[in-house]
Amino acid sequence: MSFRQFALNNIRRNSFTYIAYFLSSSFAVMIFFTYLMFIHHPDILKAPIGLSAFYGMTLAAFITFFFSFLFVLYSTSAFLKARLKEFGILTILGAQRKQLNYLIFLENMIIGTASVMTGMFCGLLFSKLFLLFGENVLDLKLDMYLPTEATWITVVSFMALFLILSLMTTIFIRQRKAVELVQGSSKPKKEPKASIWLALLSAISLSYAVYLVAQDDSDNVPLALLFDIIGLYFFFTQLSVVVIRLLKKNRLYSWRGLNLLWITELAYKMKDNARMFFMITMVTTMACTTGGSVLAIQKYVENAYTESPFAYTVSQRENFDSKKQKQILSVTQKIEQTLTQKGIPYQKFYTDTIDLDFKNIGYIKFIRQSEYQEMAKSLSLPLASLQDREALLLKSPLVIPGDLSDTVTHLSFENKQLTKSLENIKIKDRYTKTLFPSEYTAVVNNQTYDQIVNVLSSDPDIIDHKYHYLIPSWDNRTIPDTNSIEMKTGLELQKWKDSLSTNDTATLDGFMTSRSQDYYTRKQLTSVAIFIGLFIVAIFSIFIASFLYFKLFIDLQHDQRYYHELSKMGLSLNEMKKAATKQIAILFYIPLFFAGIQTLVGLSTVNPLFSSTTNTVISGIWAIGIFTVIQTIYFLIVRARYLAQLKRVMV
Amino acid sequence: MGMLEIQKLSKIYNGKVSTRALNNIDLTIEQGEFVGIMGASGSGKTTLLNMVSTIDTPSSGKILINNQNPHQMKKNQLAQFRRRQLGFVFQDFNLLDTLTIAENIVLPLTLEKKSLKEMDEKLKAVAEKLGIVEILNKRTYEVSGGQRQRAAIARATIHSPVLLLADEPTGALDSKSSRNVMEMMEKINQTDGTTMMLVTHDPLAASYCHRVVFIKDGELYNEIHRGQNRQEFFQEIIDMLSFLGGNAHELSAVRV
Ligand SMILES: Nc1ncnc2c1ncn2[C@@H]1O[C@H](COP(=O)(O)OP(=O)(O)OP(=O)(O)O)[C@@H](O)[C@H]1O
Ligand SMILES: [Mg+2]
Repeated sequence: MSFRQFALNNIRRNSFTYIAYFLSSSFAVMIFFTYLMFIHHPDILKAPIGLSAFYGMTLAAFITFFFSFLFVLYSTSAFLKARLKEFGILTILGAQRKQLNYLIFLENMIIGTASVMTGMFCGLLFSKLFLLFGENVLDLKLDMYLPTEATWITVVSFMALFLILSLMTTIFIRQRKAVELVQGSSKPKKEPKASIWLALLSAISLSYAVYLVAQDDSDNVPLALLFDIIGLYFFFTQLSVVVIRLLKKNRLYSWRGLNLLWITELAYKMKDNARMFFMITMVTTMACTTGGSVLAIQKYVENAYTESPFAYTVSQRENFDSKKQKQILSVTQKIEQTLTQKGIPYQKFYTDTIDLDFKNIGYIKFIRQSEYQEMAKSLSLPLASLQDREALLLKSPLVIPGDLSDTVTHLSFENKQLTKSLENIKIKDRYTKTLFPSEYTAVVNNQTYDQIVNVLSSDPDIIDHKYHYLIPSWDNRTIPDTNSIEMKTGLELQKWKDSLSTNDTATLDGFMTSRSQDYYTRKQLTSVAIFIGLFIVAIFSIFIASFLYFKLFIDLQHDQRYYHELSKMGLSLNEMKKAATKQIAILFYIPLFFAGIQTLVGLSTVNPLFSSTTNTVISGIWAIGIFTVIQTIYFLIVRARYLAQLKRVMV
Repeated sequence: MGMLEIQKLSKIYNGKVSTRALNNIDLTIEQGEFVGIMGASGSGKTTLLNMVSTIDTPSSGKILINNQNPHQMKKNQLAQFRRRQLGFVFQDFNLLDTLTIAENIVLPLTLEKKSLKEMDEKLKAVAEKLGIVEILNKRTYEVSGGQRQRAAIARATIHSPVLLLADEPTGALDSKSSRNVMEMMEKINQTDGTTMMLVTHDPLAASYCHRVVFIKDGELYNEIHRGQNRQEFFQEIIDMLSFLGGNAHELSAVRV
């Protein structure tokens, strides 16, 4: 039997253990290839959002590659550790180190090459499908093409990855003495000892990280992350030991039913598990945070639409003197024509608004009471009778909260002239209602408004002139369908605008913003983010699940012997299932639990960056929920396969 | 009616070549009896023990333990039967290396969800009886083979089984430890009245039994009873083994 055959046979015999590792490596190769196929597509940059997609996918490809590296490194070294005894026996039988190294190298390369080939094959097979998917998201025609560049980059980088890691693993073996090899990993592990100091360090680091996060300062984020990582690492390696020891000490609990079995089993594998838990928790946190952020952005985009009462707003051009202009292309006219043609009734409002700066608060939009009242009737906004220097304050739910607290009763101007003539503005009433999205709007009576205009008369541009179109038949409480009249009309107007020549554009009397078009472009960007993020999350979750699978099946022989003995003693099948399920569930769900907490804390720190209608924590819960569902599916599969293996040894 | 009734028991292993490991065995063991099973390697001793311990199912014939036929029970019921009525001691991998000696011993009781007080009492009693009190908090790899085997006996008897089954419990021990382990078993047999069935190659171990049954090629060959003197009985066993011939020298050469 040649050495190559020997290596092949080894793989075949260990195939049960290798299968998950092989499949996830192949999956990673496939995803990496798919990203490259998009990046190198000749038409990708033709889409309006092509550049964002290009950069996003490049980053995603790097992340995929980096984590593939970690995954392969971890998996192979875990597997080698489990096989130390086998190597030891080979050494005693007279195998030279060189031969042993060659054997390991060969095994790794065979699996690596097979993964690259399988991944590439599936990538090419599904490339049309992925391109179609991409076409939908990017709204761009992406023809099938021969991805030569993507192919060779994928093959070369992943072969290099497997080659380097295969060489690294042989170094790992070279450092061991023969005796160590023979004793292998079957040597019963001593229970790890916890150090009070390290446990304390963990507690302090975690508290400090939480403190930094609570400071609400974005400069603190990297430092908080660092302390969080340190804290979590020692949490798993130290505190876990303490927890297990306490569990064992409490004999009333541990000496009862199956508890003795899984608690001692947990203690036995704690040292290995602690590091693994740490890694998995970090990766899961990353996946969930990414997912949560994307979901939050998507929610924000939706809210920006539902919180815009006007379908179209036209701002008049500054310094646009219609009398001087020979030709005028009227945007309002175009909109009105289009709407009338379609027989869509509309209401048109005109507003003059001024943005004024206030101390410690920032800009607030001011509007005349008479203009406001006209709109208020149609929009069912609150009315108020206002004295001089009194304001009715409207806060849009899209406004980033925090600047203007409820305790403020008076607004003080930054502008000295305004302070001199008006002193300040008293807030009479305040409501959370949208008139203009993302802004505070103050309604003042006409005299006050005119007084302000007078004071600032030196700068006539300070006044914004706008037309707002309210279309009652277009319901904006739910996000629009691509086939809705609003979407179609918006697209038609957009096309009209895009079709104008530069000369024509110069004669436009204003700029149109359309809430449906805004929604559409933003929505596309988030779709790209979701498209990219989805693959990354999928890769992370698959890596985690197959690593756990790998871990379990490496210990399978030990566990089989263990349950065989117990079965002889009278452990029933159901009890075995219960105990083993607990063991597997701990592996799957403990990291998920801590990742969930981290994600929620992390996302709650960015919550102030979003408006009050978008709760990043809720998006985080969604992301964790989805991740939990995926992991649960893996859990059930792994559990079923594992229990089937254990069932065979039950007498 | 004996405590253990074996009637016309046969076992055929169906493989590429089917092996008749046991053929028409009839054996009765009375309440409180201590019976040894001997025979050449491959004669079917372990097979017989596995049938009795319900780990394996017979091809034909019947086994009754306390008038119950465990092979007619459902799987979960059978597991419960094993852990309440039977106790096992094997040559190796008796104890779980993730547990301390004490935890190993109380394991059958924890599965039955006995109270902590009861477990502590029984643990103390059995550990004292077997002289392993000092090693209770050690791990399995920190104690000697003889101590480990005594711990295994402790675990097999802590729940007061009606029948204790042992497969070469002294197989991996030197003669001093073997003697010690066998004395412990004898003591349990005498004080608790536990019925015991012991499979062994070791004439010394067998000489602690009340009766030794010899198996040859899957069939009952002969049996001898112990008189007053253990030394005499030991000699009789040796003689019997050499009479059995063939592999007998290999058996008697173990240690005298
Ligand atoms: N699982 C099995 N499948 C097939 N044949 C088996 C199986 N177990 C035992 N045998 C065969 O049945 C016969 C009796 O085996 P058994 O293990 O009972 O012998 P034994 O008396 O315990 O021998 P030893 O003293 O060596 O332990 C042998 O021929 C053996 O090869
Ligand atoms: Mg045997």
